[in-house]
Amino acid sequence: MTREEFNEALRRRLAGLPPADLEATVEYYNEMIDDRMEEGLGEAEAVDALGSMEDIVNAVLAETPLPVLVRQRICPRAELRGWMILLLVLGFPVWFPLLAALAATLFGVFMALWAVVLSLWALVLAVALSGVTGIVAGVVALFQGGGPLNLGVGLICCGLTILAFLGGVWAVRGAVWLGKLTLLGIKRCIFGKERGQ
Amino acid sequence: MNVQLKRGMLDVCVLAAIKDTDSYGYQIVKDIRPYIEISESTLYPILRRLETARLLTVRSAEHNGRLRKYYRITPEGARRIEEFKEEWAELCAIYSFIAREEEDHDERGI
Repeated sequence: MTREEFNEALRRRLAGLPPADLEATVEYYNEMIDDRMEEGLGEAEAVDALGSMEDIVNAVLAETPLPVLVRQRICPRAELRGWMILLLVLGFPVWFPLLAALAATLFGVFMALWAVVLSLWALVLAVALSGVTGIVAGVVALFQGGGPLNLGVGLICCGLTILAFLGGVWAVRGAVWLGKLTLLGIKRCIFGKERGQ
Repeated sequence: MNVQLKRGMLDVCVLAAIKDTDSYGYQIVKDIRPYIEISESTLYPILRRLETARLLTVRSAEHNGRLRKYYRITPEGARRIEEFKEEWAELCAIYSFIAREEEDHDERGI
């Protein structure tokens, strides 16, 4: 890839950034290319040494707060024309419920995800309590001449608690990971439209 | 290395790379790389974050007929390095606690 191609691709992929941030990013990577070329690398090699475009874009996106991206996306760079304002006002009953529904859906999905995690932890607690109760009841029953059934069930519940606990830990990790991925996905959506991808 | 641990370390590494003398992006990457994996795309957000936090300042200077950005540490940045060194003593204590636990386990054959 030549420097020109790299710059063009970077500008296209980061089109949703505030213009000053975009220029600073392009400048930074061009300085890196220049420094590598001074060390004797060819232009294409110096560009390749920067790593994948995907990593570069993701690193910038991850550090840019979502509100900045949204603001940049919503605020047009040119002045709002009269008819645009009129359309926005007249279209309010249409676009506002759609936007609100989208936000509510996202919120719902998020809550559902965490509800699953929470229910899993409720299960851990329930099995743990059953285990403890079972063992206590089993020991009491043994002294009173009863069978070891309660004790056995209690021990099984304790074993299940350990497994469910591990499951719970992984569920929390999974939910956090999914949350991060969703945020990055939303950021990429905001960027994506302008590029027509 | 663990991602969270690395993130905190990289900030201080970048500050340490400009502690004695002003430096530029590529040089910082080269200075840090023998010790901790870092790429240009990782460094960029760190530099911006440190600049926003006023731990370093940026100036442009001419180099071979082009402009190059040089990063200079601020007194707050220097203080951040000192804080890290103080935290290090705590980290060492935690490390020895963790390592001792393992030795105990080894001795007990667990």
